[in-house]
Amino acid sequence: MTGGWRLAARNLGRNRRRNMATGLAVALGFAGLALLGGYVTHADAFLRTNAVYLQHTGHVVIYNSGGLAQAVARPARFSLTQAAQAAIRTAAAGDSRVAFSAGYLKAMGLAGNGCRSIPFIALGIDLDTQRRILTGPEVLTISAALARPVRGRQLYEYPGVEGRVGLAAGLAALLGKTRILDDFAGPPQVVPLPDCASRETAAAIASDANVQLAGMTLDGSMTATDADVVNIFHTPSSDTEDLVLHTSLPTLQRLYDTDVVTYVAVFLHDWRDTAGVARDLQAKLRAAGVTVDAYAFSDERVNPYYAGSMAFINSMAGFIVLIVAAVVVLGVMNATTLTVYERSRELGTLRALGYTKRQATGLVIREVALLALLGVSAGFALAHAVAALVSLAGVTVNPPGVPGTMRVILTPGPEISLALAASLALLSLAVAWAVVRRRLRERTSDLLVAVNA
Amino acid sequence: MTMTPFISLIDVHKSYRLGETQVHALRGASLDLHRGEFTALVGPSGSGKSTMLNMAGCIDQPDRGSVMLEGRDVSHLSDDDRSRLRNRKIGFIFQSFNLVPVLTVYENVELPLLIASGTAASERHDRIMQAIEDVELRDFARQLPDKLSGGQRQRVAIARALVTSPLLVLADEPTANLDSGTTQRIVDLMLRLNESRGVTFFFSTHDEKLISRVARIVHISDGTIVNGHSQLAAPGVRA
Repeated sequence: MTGGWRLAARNLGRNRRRNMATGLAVALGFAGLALLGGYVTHADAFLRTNAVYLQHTGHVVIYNSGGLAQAVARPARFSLTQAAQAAIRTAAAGDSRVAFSAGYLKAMGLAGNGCRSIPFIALGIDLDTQRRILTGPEVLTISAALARPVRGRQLYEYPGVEGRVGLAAGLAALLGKTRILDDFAGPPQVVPLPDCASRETAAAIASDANVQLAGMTLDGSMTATDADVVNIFHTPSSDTEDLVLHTSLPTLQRLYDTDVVTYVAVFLHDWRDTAGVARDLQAKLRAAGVTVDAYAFSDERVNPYYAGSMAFINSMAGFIVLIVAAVVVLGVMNATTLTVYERSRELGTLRALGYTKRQATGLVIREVALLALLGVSAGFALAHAVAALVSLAGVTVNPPGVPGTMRVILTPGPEISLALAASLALLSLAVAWAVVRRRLRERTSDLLVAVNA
Repeated sequence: MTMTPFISLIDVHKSYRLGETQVHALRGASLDLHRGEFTALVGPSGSGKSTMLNMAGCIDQPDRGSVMLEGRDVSHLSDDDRSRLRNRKIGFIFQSFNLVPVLTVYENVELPLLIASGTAASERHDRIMQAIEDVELRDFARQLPDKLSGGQRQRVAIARALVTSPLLVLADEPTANLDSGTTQRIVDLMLRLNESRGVTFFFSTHDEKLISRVARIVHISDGTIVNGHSQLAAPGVRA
């Protein structure tokens, strides 16, 4: 250990109580911010996973130009044709950042139970893609509970059921469909209903898994089909609980008598590439004459819930970070100021012995650096201990607007820990530097006779 | 032929603020010190002794006038250059010893060498041990200052002042906090080092015993040097 560091280490032993309090402030500040960072990171991952995978928008979603706003209402004009789909898939496949892509048909219609019709928005999903998504590591590690249907299994797990649909829990309740195909033995059956006004109707409606779906084809004709409810699920957002219906893409395309899709969702290996991929794909496709709009999942027009929630969480976190950082900085400033004023004569002596202002400052800075290092190390241990305890306890929360629960995970990632450690250390050093330099601006002869030394 | 003074203060003026008051500490003070001299600066409190020492030690800069060290004007050097100059050529001894309490005797003596560039670790160790031996504190090298007596602490301060082999050692009332017996030993030590190493000593004091043993006494009053004579050698006094 060089002389400067040795002196710094020994000086930490002076005023133990004060240094301990300062170190504790740094430790608690670091731990608090690290846990907050861990929470924000996990909340972001949870909401992102829901948006990208469970709402099937992908990391990048590609619509026909103007299609984001109008494709569902005016599918004939704004859907993606087979040729456009092929061009998008080819472009996506040529980008090494892309894991896979899939077309989705989104359509409005009416779902009926024989007595009552409820409006729906159906999403036609390629079931191989669904399998890939739901068995992928992102969903399994972060949103497994929300991805699991409340009743029944996933759509792809019913290969023999031609007209299979999954109903959002609210829509199922509105339709009185509380039971699913698995609840009935044998092949799908349709139970004849009594008079819709009779008391037995509700029980009769619930005694089969059949629903009728009606819609309007792209050329304006009415269309309808029978379907069997194979699962009931929660949507990632409460707003759509009364509205959403999932089925296979071929089923929905058959109902609407079309081969178009509303959008193509592009899923990436690493979500951090989203903006770049969106920009590149749009440019590449437009250059090839395919006029499409590519949006990132974080675009509030695509995922308003994700964008709004993260904006709120980030602003809250930013506010807390400011407060905690201010407390830590004030703690360090207070301790350093007292230290420097108490040791004015010592600083004067060092200056007399030939230490430049920079060298004398460096001695105190080393002391603060050691204190920050100890504080950050203790904070790191504390943060991980608390995070481990919370994980062990299996704490869950109900995020606003999400029908399911989110497991609370506070473990800060290495990037957050490193960034926090660097930020707190730099802040502490900057504050200490300012305090020492201010004191050293005084004449050395005054420091040598300082009365509070 | 006149020898160039080792250090010259020429018509030095210095004033500073003390609260609301403007204090004129030096009013045209001039003084020459030659190499190897053992000089006491004597004067009443507030006469400008400490300011004079600070000027000579390049701790302060004059408002007016100049400070020449080995024929070179050092009064307008930058702060960093004056720091380096102090480290290389000047040693300081303080009335209250000014040792760093968390460092051992060895480490306190080492302090000035830590910033002296180009000193190998082994050479540094030899110089520290030599300085400690010169002040007869070899057995106390690993002790912390609070385990030492006042005289021992001042000897540590002397070792620290001498470890860089300075040409000039400045001491501000070095025996003020010591009893008479210890004062005697400290003076003996300073005289011995002055003779054996040829170090120039310039110190302020009120101590009559110390004054009686120095070769040259400089009187200062109201910020002006009033008399800078050499006195004849008394027994044990270097002329």
